[in-house]
Amino acid sequence: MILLGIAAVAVAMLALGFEMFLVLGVPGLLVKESFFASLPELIVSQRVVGGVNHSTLLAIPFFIFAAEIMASGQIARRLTDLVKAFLGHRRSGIGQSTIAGCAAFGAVSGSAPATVAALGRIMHPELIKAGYRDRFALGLIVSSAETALLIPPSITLIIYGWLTGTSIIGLFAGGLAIGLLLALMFALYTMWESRRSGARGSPRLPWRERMATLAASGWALGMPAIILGGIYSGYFTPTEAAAVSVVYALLVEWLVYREITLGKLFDLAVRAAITNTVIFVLLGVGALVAYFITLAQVPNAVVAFLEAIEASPILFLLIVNVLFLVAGMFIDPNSALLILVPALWPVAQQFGIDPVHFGLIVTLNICIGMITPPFGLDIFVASSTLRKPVITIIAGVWPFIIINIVTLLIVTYVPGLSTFLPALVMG
Amino acid sequence: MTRVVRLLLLLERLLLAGIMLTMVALYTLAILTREFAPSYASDVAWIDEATRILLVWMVFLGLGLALQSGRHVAMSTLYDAMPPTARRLLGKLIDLVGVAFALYLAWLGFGMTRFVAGAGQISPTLGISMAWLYAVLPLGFVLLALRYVLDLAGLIDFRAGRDDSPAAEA
Repeated sequence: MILLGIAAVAVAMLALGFEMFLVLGVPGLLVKESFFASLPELIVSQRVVGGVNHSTLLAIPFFIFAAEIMASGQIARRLTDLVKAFLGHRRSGIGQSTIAGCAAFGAVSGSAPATVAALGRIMHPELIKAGYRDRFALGLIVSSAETALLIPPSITLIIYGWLTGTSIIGLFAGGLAIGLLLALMFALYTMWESRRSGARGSPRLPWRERMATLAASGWALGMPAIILGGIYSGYFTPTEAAAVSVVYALLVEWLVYREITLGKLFDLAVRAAITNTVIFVLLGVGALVAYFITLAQVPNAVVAFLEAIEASPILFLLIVNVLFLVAGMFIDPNSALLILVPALWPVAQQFGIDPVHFGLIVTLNICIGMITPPFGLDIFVASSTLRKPVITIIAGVWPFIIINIVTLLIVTYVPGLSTFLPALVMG
Repeated sequence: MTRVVRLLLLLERLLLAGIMLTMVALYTLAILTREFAPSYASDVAWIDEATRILLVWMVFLGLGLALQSGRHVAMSTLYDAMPPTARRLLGKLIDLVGVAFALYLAWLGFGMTRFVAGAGQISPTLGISMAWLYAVLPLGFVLLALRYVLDLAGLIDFRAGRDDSPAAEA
């Protein structure tokens, strides 16, 4: 009864637009006072700081900082220009360039909203010029940016890895496979849509110019090379790769492209720090909530329930899908991870589900949640950066949500898709 | 009053940027040492712990500034659709809850800091008191409470600037 009351408070706070850390934190404290009053008060501070103070998580501020530097400088644009030089002349070329550009920028930033903001401004005018309908262009940009959550370095995968103790390298390898699969599905749809709307590619570039573009993006290409190559070869830990990517992005934008001044660097560092706080305060307060979820033995209750209905692993995964899809429609991805994973991960272990496979299902669900109305975060980011009405973006995003769900079902049913690359990389 | 707030803003920004850049520099130093002077690697073993403590400081020091910049995540669809009067009242309600929450956590953090300082717990590689790890909690949450109070008093309006923040990065 008390628990129901607390849940009602949480839902009301969420719906009324309380800051998310209050939506998690106030009910968390109420649960503590109502059910675990005998626990010392010290536990609260200890959990909140413990949710932040972790070596694996150090990769997040570094990747955020690197993304801020690249988005404000030249690296994002040069990567996009490169893709366009090679793909742009095909009928669906500009559409495909958008997908590949988002994947490439995702490979250096790890944040979907950052990708929408950086690539949207560049590609939206070009898509319209190529003859695509406005709503398709918007849907394509918003959805393609989701691949940033899957393609390493993904902040979502780092948080999942930290919550479950799964190898970040394994998750990054699996994320690469699933991210590319999703990009391929979008590419097929774009080919069909291009024919339908009579889109045109840009003029075919002679090889000499293509090579010139390749040369011009050489420094920018070093970025994914460092991150992916460094991590997969075992030369860097993910956190080290993240730190190196900041230094590399700084040196390239400052010395080679001459985009960064000292004053700008200061602003970028502050911006990155604030973005970081916004994510980590949820990790801290979320760690408190996760602690009570474990203490209340929620995972055991879920297992008991699933055993009672004789659920198969696949049925469990489908339930996971539904839970995350619904959660993703209403709350932000990190909060969804922080509340649901501690409750569901032990259950997945009971069912013998591969941790990387489970992580990718969860992440793919979060991708869908980010673009699903009414609350999908990226819809609003796109609306504010591209100055387009939310309603137009929602209209364009629907076909992509369906493609996403089809991909999700394939990934759920075929564990091998998620696990073959990690097995290859980790031996 | 506003001059004090502006000075505070500048201080926070300086601290946050300083911590971020220091973290990058320290971590890079550790990597370079490992690569080019492995025999000194044990001399930089404190860096992992130092960067983690800096991370904790950066996170909680940024709470107030993030609120004032309208950057904290909130599901504001319903709020934005409300008529102005209802919005103003709801805003005050959220501010009140926010002040209470922030002050309570500041109080708990203060207690934790005092407890750890009293227990004399020393960090494994840095050799400083572990109380430093928790000392940012009272500071950061008081800075957060201050922003809610300023909003309550109508001196700032962080919800007005919320929509055009380019990326509520997730």
